[in-house]
Amino acid sequence: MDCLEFRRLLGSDPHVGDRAAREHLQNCPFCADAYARAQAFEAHLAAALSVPVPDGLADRILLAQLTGERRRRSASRVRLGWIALAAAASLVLAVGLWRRTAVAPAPLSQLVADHVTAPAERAAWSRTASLPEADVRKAFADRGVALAAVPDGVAYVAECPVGNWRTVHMVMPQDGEPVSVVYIVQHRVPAVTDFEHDGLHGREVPIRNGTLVLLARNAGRFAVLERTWQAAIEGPPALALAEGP
Amino acid sequence: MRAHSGELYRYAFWLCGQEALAQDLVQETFLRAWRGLDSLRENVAAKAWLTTILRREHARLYERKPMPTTDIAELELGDAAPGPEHLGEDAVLRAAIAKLEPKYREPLVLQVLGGFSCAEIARELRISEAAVMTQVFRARQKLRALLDGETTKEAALHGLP
Repeated sequence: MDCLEFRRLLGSDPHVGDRAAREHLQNCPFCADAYARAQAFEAHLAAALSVPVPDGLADRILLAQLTGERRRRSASRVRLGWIALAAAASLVLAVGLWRRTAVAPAPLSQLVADHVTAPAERAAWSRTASLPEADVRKAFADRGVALAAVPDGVAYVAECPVGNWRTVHMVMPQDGEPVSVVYIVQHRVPAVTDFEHDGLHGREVPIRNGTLVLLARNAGRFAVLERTWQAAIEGPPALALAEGP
Repeated sequence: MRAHSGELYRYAFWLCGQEALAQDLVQETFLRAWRGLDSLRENVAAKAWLTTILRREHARLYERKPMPTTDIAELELGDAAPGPEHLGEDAVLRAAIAKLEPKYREPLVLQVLGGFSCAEIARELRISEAAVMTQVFRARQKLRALLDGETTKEAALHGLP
């Protein structure tokens, strides 16, 4: 092997394992210098490529697998039971007459409730200090949502996958109690619906192209949060223009 | 899963240039891998298998619905545990890597981060081994050229020769 061939090999695979290349390396001081420089560059390159991995990534993936599998199995059962589906459709029609009524958790609510109550996410409930507005704006912007305003008091924000949905998961302490606020982008429920989950109160609210899910021990602040987030995501209600003469 | 999630995340990040999308890609990769676990015959091949799934997911997501993207060259990346002496160097090198065309960046990432051989990368990218060798060679040349340019600019800024 000559120097030219060695340098070409060094550029394409710096960990030269070829026997002829190793022999050349031992006999050519110029290529030995080039090899040393290449190894230093490779170490630098590997360090630069190793971008930080988000905390809790593996836990979130495991949780998403768990909830995703549950949703898939549920969907499979529904496909098999067309009679049950017809009966369920009638029930939904009847229930749909009531705009806000407590029903058994819908799949979306169930997934979100599973997510926010998962051991890996529970620590978020203890957060009380408000985050900078920029953090909240960035999380929404990463999901393709430009906020018109950022509500006060967001103590935790994370871009969490829930099942197959993309969400912004937040915690907003209200009267000393944590309220989980999760915005699911690109999935809009048809109407506002209240639900219960393991002693927690929940509400799904369609806002723009997505759904806001609120979950807390006390639902007393839901109405305020619902309006606040509606204004933040959709912008303030359009002012009625005064008609001209 | 824990053994591969960090590595896959980094690969996904250099594919798409967005932290949130990279997380979604890794999650979707594991969901699909979980469902197709029966097709994995050898545990040692898990990394290559997961990498293939992730690449397909990335292609599928972009084909199905273009997502709002940030120019990867404009990213400001944090360092995992940078020493003060490496903070600037890593940032400059990352910016240079981000400026590489995908056809140069992807095989380089697979080789340096994934530890794949040129033959394995060739199989993954469905190109010849000679093409992979040329691309990673040129990728390194381009990085050195970009870094030399940055070093020269910095030296000029400080009045150094």
